[in-house]
Amino acid sequence: MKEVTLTVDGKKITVPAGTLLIDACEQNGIYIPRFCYHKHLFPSGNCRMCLVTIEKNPKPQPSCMTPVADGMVVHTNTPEVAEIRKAVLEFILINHPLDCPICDKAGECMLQDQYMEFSGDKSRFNETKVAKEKLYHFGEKIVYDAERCILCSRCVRITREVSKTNKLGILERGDRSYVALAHGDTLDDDPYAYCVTDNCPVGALTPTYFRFKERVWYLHKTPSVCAGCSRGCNIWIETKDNVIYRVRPRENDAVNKSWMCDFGREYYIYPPKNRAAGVKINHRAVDYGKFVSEVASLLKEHTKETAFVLSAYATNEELTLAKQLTEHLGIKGIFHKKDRVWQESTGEIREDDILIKEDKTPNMAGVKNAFPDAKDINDMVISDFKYAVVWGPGAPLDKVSGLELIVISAMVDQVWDKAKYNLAGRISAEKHGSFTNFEGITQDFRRAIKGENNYDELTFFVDLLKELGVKPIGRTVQEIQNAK
Amino acid sequence: MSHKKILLNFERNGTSHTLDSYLKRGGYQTLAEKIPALSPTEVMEEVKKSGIRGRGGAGFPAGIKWSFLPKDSDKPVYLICNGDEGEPGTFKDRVIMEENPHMLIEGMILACYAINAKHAYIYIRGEYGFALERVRAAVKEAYDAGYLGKPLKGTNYVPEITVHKGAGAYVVGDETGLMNSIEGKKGQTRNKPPFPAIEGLYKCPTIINNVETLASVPWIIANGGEAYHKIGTEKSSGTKLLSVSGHVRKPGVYEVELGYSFMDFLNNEAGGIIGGRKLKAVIPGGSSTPVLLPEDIKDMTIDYESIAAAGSSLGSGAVIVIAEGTCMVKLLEVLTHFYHHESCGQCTPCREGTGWLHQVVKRIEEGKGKMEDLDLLTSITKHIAFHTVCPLGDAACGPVDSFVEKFREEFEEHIKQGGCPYGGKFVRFQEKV
Repeated sequence: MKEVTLTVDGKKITVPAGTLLIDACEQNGIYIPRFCYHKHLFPSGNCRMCLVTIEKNPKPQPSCMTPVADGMVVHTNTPEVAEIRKAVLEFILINHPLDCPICDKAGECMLQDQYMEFSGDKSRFNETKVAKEKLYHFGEKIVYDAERCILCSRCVRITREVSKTNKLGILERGDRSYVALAHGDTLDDDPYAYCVTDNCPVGALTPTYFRFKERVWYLHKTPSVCAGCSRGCNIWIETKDNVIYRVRPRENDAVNKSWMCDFGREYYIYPPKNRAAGVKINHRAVDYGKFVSEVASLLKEHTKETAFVLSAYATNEELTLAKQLTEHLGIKGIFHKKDRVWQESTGEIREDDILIKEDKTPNMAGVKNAFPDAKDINDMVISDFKYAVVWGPGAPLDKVSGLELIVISAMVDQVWDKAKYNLAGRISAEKHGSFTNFEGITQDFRRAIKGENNYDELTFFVDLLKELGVKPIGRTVQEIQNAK
Repeated sequence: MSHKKILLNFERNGTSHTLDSYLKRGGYQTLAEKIPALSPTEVMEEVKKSGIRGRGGAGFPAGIKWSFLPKDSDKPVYLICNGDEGEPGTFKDRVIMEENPHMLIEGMILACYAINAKHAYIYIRGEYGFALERVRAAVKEAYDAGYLGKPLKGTNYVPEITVHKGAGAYVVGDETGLMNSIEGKKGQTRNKPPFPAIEGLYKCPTIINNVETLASVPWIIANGGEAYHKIGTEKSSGTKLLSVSGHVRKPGVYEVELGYSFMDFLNNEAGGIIGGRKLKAVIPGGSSTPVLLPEDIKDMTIDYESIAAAGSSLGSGAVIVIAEGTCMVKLLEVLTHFYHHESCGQCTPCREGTGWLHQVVKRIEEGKGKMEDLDLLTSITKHIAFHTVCPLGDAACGPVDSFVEKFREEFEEHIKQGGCPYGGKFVRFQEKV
């Protein structure tokens, strides 16, 4: 690709032709403050915070709208540019309410942060602020505060360019402008609606599930990967006291850019009610050690008669151990299944050309990598088997009924209820490991919350292997990944 | 001094807008007589030779603007006639559209031919109901008579014109805002570059000219660019429509040759100051141009260079005359209110700053000002001007800066006195009977 060389603050930098100045600077360690610019949206150039001076250009130029050019000489640290930034911040704060103490965005607000970094001046504005609507429900998911809004138009561009619903627009003119929906419309049926709240630079758009729930600086952020479908959007799970308060997309240009769908988010925010708990044999709670030894001896005795049904929620590391286990025992009947399928009744989207995939499990690709010979559970001949290890939810009941079942699952379903041996497993937020998405990209995620009254499948397989007298490939995610 | 009449070369008898009347005074002759012998490039060359400068306000030479079109583009080219005459004090295009619309249409046909436009639009501001009616009727007449919609004589070129009504927004007077409006979007301007000649209407190369500029083209083609260049001064050629308002005896639209003495114009054409009062100030080119004092205009002539030398701009040729006894603070309050009301709200400095300016000026006018406010005003304008997407921000600052600079004492008087020495309202000046 063609490259151009320009000078920024006396430093020569070389970037690909066509790069926007604001990105070129950022890639070279010079951060230019911005509100309306977002690297995954078409630039709009309206906030004027990113103005810089370019030699031979009489007016300061918005760096978010200016492609780099060979020989361009740019200044971002001159007193003139500093003054422009102060002035833009002063202008924005004229009509912005100073209700940071009750604003959910406080602590991660671009206006707060950039004001502290680039201005800190007292306002000279002694007139009356424009009064606007403070509580405007964009449906049940999102609330808009027009006074806090700085009209950067990011949300408008998200509905236009990301979700393509074109639901939001800016009405009125001048300092009376506000973001609005068409009359009677809501954002509830926009599958990417929460993205507008993540990317609002101020606290104008807030998600109802998080409003007034917690101050952001008390939240612990864990990098994770969404298990809602096979896209594997990168996410932050934000927790406090072992409770998930908020889920937000984590930037990854290769997978989900800066977005994620609302179904994925709600998957974490509203945890399923039918969680499995405990370790049981014949529906009676037993000691975990007893469970491991009984299962181990059962599998050893009935290797030929046992079907092993894999979970597409399993991490790659768990699958490595499962493979070691089945190979050691010589289990041949290995099957994969879709742990979760598209549920039309909940209004979930089957598939779109944005992020949502039809395969609603996170690691089918990992399953197929680890067990290339595994067959679909629908092709299983039930008369071949007497026992079945069913891992994860969603196994079709008719395929396993009549067998003696060992179920390891985080969810209670009909198969769980029919099982002789039950071990409650964990959901991905409670696990550490990696998933491989439908494109073959393997991504690590960390444990965000502790499991309660359930067992890590990885540890279970380690214990099972030990019980069988085999040295597991590794005892932790790290060891297994290093061993590979 | 009698002036050459190019645009207002007719008697205002109530029929000048019709095709019959226009044909009687030699209209549409360029199409039959000149076009068959002229190539598009030659038409463009004539306009370049004439040296005519854009009459909308910026004063950029029209022929040079046309030559910015990309030569190797496979996209269609559009022509837009900017009839969104929104600058306070300006009402000159209205006269052309209402009284002489066929001259505009002929000019547009010639311009379309020169730039090989696929389609042309006339954008008329929402408030100009009558002008819209007249232009629509004229375009229909031109279609019926075969000047539009059929190939020009001796060529394959078919000119097409659509009349588009605006919805009433000052900011749409800016070319990119106008294009967004035609495209059906909110009337907000675009960042430049890209300039319209490269990427304009529907992202295609677009030429946009003022009504007065385009209406001058038929005369230029009929008489040659050099003949036009001989009128007026070397750098400001041709005639210019001036719309005079304010405290003069004979407000209205006048066509003068550029280079004419401003005081002569004021005393002869405009009839002098009403009520025999003394001149206090003049805004020479529409409300956004800096105000001038009587001593600034003594030797000023009406052309781009001379007015620029006096510290202002010819702009759209909207002369606002202000007589002694007018409160300049009140006047500024009215102007800042206008810009606050018309700010589109797209970019921060203008959206927030124009409202701030208005509130401060209003406070001074009401006697609640402080001395620091005057420096505050100039500091606000410094941060708006040239930092916005479009020139509305600059336009809002022009009057504030010049009023505060040239009438600082009057502002201080308001502050010291705690009120308006003129009673807080405009006085209606009348002729002494």
